[in-house]
Amino acid sequence: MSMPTNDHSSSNQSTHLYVPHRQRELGWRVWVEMAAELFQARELLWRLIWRDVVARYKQSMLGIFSGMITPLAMMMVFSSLHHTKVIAHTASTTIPYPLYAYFGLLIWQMTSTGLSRATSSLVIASNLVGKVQFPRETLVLSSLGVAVFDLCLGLPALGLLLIYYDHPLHWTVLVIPLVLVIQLILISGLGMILSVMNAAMRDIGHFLPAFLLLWMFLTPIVYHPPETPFWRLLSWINPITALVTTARDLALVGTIKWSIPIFTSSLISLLIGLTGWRVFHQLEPRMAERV
Amino acid sequence: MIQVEGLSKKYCKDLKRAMRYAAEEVVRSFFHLYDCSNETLREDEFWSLNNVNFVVQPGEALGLIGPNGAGKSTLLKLLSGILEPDLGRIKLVGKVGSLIELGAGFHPQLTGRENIFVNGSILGLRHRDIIRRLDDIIAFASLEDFIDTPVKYYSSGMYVRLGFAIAAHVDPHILLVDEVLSVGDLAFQSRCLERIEQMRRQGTTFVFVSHDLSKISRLCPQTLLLDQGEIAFLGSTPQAIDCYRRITHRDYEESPGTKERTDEVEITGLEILDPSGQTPDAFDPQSTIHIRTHFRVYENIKDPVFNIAIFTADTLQQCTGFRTDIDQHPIGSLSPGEHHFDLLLPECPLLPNHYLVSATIWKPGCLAPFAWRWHDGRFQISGGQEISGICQLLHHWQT
Repeated sequence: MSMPTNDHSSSNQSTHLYVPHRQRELGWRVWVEMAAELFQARELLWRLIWRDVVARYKQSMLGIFSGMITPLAMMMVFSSLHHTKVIAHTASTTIPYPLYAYFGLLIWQMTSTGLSRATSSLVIASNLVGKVQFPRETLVLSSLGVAVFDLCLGLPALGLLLIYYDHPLHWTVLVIPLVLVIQLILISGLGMILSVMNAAMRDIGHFLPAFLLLWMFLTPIVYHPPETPFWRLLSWINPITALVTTARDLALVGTIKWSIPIFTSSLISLLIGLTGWRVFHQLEPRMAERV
Repeated sequence: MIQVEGLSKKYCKDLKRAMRYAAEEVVRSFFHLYDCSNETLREDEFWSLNNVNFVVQPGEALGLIGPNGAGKSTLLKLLSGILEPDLGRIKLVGKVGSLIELGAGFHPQLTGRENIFVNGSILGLRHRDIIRRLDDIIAFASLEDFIDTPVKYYSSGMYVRLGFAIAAHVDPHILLVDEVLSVGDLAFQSRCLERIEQMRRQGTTFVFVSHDLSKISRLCPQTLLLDQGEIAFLGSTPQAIDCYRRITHRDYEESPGTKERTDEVEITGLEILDPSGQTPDAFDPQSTIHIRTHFRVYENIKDPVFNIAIFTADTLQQCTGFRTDIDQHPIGSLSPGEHHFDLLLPECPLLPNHYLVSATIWKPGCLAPFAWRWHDGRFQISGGQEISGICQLLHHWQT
């Protein structure tokens, strides 16, 4: 058997230095370290996303179709509620309600799966986290990768709905990835904070489903927000409102409303993303001894 | 090279309090507040490691032994960067690999081949390195026929074999090994040891944690003995092992044996004595050992059989036994009162280790006991040269 040999003579051997409060000593350079670590872990990140996706669809009969079932089913539920006038859809939009709801649900599903998978990611991998050293950010980010994959799986049904309702798709749809990236930054920031907190207090994971449900109904996913001061205020506070509305307008209406909420939402998302990452990086070594 | 200076790490016994301390520390370190909590122990805290200093030069192998809870795993986790030190510093030159948990992170649904890619990435291998080593890994684990089977159908042996094969092909400059060399069957174990020998020849630096002292003495010339978080001994492996035995003797003292009696007889105690009637910490293999059994007789009994058995204290393997009926040493009748009998071992060719002694008094015919005391006496044979087995036979070499 041929064995690969070590090149011990190489002079560029890496040196690790572990001291107390290493990150504090680094000061602002900790950001450089974080970025470098994440860049070096890009292959691992892809590998983990690949693992989760492959493992998820390996033992399912419906295979990749299972990704569109949840939003389709929910769309049907809400469409029937809308049909019987339980949900009003009065605003001045030309989008047929099922299309409107399905699009919103597809994006919401990315948010909710991403966030719930990210929150439990550290705890699920606890035997790995306690035993092997690797950038733990990859665990949280790979959860989002799976959520994005699910979103892609829901697209064929969206296409069919567009054809069925003979609704045009506008060229502005090409800008959507940018909006989604901003949303992913928001989710990853929240996911990083929640995953570390969940490692410490399992309550987070228990309350998350209820919290996500509440959040969904505070976001115009399946309804049009009424033009009242309360809802306007909410759309300013809730960063997802502007992101979902903008994405939907880009795809189905073809206009970009460069209103203030989209800027503030993007800013909030970036802030939450960076804060979450920094908090995660700071807390994670302390959590490794406790997950 | 590994350089450890003044390394300390503390843990908190209470989970809730540990959480509060962690939250405090995080807030302090975020806002750069003065923080003295690292040096002092707060309530419910204890030092898992306290002021540990050592250096391992490139290509050296250091053994790490100690009783349970001595801080071995904590030290290994600090070395691998999973935990952050509370005090002191660790400097490592070169890529660090660890054989700590084999197959951690294997996904049961994925095949062996798919898991090689995932696990290899987690251990820090790049995609092209994995592809280059794939055949070697599969061959080393001898899983050619099952490599495309989901690992959930693997036997536990196949599972750890694959885990070891991946970890052993990461080719680190420093390898941390925690109690994993006893996986798989004998053939695989010897392949693991061979691989480690090969890595040592290539200049890999090693830190081994093991309770298997024969493996430690085979692989490591130098050994660090930890006891309750502090260095109890650092130096040559035979001396470290001898020192370790003395520490474990202390721990064995605290675990009592079991006993049983009947209305006729009760065994009241076992004493292990040297010829002068003292109870020494340890015996030389050449010295005479007296095993004295004290017993009390309540009713007249006739022709009892005395039986002494010796066990290794770590594995409870029976080494030998002595019976008065087999040795044709009739006892006759005994009247009520205090008695004792002695077993003399003029020389005891047992290998250095801790031993437990059990005494039984049988009814005639050895079918039912009058009384016994199980694993009650303890003694230690001193010496540090570690050989697998239980006894040293008288021998000569001819070449």
